[in-house]
Amino acid sequence: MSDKPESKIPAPERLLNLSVYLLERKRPASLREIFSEVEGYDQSKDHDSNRRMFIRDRVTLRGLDIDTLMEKTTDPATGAETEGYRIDPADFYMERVTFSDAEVEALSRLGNRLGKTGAAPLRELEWAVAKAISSGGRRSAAGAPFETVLLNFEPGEDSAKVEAVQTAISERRGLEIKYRASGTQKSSSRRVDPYGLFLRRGQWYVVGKCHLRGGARMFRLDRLEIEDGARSTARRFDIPADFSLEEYVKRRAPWEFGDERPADVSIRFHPDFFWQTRNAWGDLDSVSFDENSRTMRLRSVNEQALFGWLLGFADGAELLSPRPARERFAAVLKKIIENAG
Amino acid sequence: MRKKKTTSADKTKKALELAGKLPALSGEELPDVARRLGVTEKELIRLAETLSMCGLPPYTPDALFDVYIDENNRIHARSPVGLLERPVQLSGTEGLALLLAGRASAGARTPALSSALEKIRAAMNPAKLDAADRAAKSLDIAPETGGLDPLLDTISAAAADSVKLEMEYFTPSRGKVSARVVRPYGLIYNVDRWLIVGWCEMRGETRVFRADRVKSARATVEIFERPPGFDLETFRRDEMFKHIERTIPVRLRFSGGAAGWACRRWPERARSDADGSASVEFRADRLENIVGMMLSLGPEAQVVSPPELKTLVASAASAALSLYV
Repeated sequence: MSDKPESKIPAPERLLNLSVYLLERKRPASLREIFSEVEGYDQSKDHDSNRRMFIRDRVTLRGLDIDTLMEKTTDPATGAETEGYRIDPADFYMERVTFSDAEVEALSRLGNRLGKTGAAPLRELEWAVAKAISSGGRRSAAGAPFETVLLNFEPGEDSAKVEAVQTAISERRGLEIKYRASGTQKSSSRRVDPYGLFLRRGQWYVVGKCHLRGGARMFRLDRLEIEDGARSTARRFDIPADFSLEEYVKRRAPWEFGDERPADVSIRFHPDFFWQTRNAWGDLDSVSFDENSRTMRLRSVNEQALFGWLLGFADGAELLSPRPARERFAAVLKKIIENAG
Repeated sequence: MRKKKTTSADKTKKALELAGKLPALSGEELPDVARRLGVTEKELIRLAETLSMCGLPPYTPDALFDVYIDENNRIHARSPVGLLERPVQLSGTEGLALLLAGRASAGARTPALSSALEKIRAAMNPAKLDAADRAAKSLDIAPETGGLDPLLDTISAAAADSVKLEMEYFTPSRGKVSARVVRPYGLIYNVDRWLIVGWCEMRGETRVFRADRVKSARATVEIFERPPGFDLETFRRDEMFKHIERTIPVRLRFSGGAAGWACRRWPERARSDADGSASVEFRADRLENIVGMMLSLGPEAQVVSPPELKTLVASAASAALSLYV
């Protein structure tokens, strides 16, 4: 224990004693009262060195989300008006919540289901669930009979990196990173203002303003290294008011990533692939399905990606229009047959 | 990144968390409490010791926290009269975890869960709720459901109610849909797709079904019982992919853009050649499963061996071409 020489009582004990003492006070406590009553402050020391310690303690507690209020009070020894401190129980404790049995069970399940996904932002979930349930004087539904939904994100990425980016976003602090772009071995140093963080298909992505390229860009977390010591440079930034993570996270089909001239494409499917395609893409506003003709209509800006997707169906899908695209697609098929021959 | 050093602030935080949870804690097992607190059992014991030294003036035994571990490794606690009988406020991080979890489980959200989360929101400190809401705007972990929402609802409800499903399912290796009765044990979102785990009455075994290959699912009124001790997480971890036997050696060659793709797909197995192409060797369980992938990559992907795979790719492409000539 890295015990400060000025105190015989370890700091965590002093901080705990101070918290519960200030919490129990009906009337704000003067510094004199705190130093003489709370175990951990040293009565053999002068008032000023105790006061410095108290100021540091207050900052530490604020860092733990515990706010000490400063209010006027009367020093019981001298009767003079002086600064006093207390912690408001209404700020400190959770309000009582009454849950039904079904709600307790649903919350327990949520904790079970997601608390072990390994996704860093959910690390405190089980704890939050336990606290919430006990705020109503209840116990977790220990061993709910069985779990029926399980989410496994398998993020793989070390959670320290996720947390570092999360902190940088919430503090609006720029990051110095080394990034290895897709398909290259070399990495380049960049300054990035992180706006958002998301997890898709087992992969974390950071969206932010890249000072090297300008504009908002997306980075894969496993390809970036956060440069240590960048903390000291601590550039601050603002997230533009019109930034929306939702736009980035919005699901797009492979043929929707690109900058070609948009082509309206019509595809007919074998009956079994028709409903499977609807299962996979039916949530997109940009596609439509016609049950009778088993056709799907979409708008493509990336022909290569569209062809790749269509080829996977073999003779289960037919590109009907536009005509030139249909001809190019047939040429690709011929080439594949040639290669395999 | 280096591991953060434990500071007295961290210790105070953990000790306060432990203190705040005391009323709900009594009788829980030590390893479980340690895991939730994010500390080792040894650290938890030390935290309990720290806590036992703290309390209110005049620090007589009845004014101190009393924490002890019984012979069954369960932790018991009592706080000084009136103190910390209620849990401390949810922190911003905890609030955030709840918000995200609520959003992530949208696919399986019940009315009870929605109302419970609403109640917690209402009880949270407004400043902390605001901080959590703001942080949640910059974070997204929700699993994608595609066009599967109604289907997933049906299946998760049937699993929760333990009623059998009548299901039409497409098996790609046989290229057809078959009707079967399934006892749904549960749903797993596994990295990028939804899977249904259940007992297939047609096959007489526990099977994993891909939700996107379910043509239709209808809950029956017939109740089933799970095998005793069946646990979804244990199944996912130990059983789910156990049955796959990879025995067929496959060698593929990729050129152009596909070479880069192959190097990313098999970072350990892909070998880059001098001309910019890449080759990969691995073992597969079924050649049919590779045909779709090879077709998708187009002319830039070629089968080197086995010849049977070459034939499969060529005949699939020929069948497709017949639609265009």
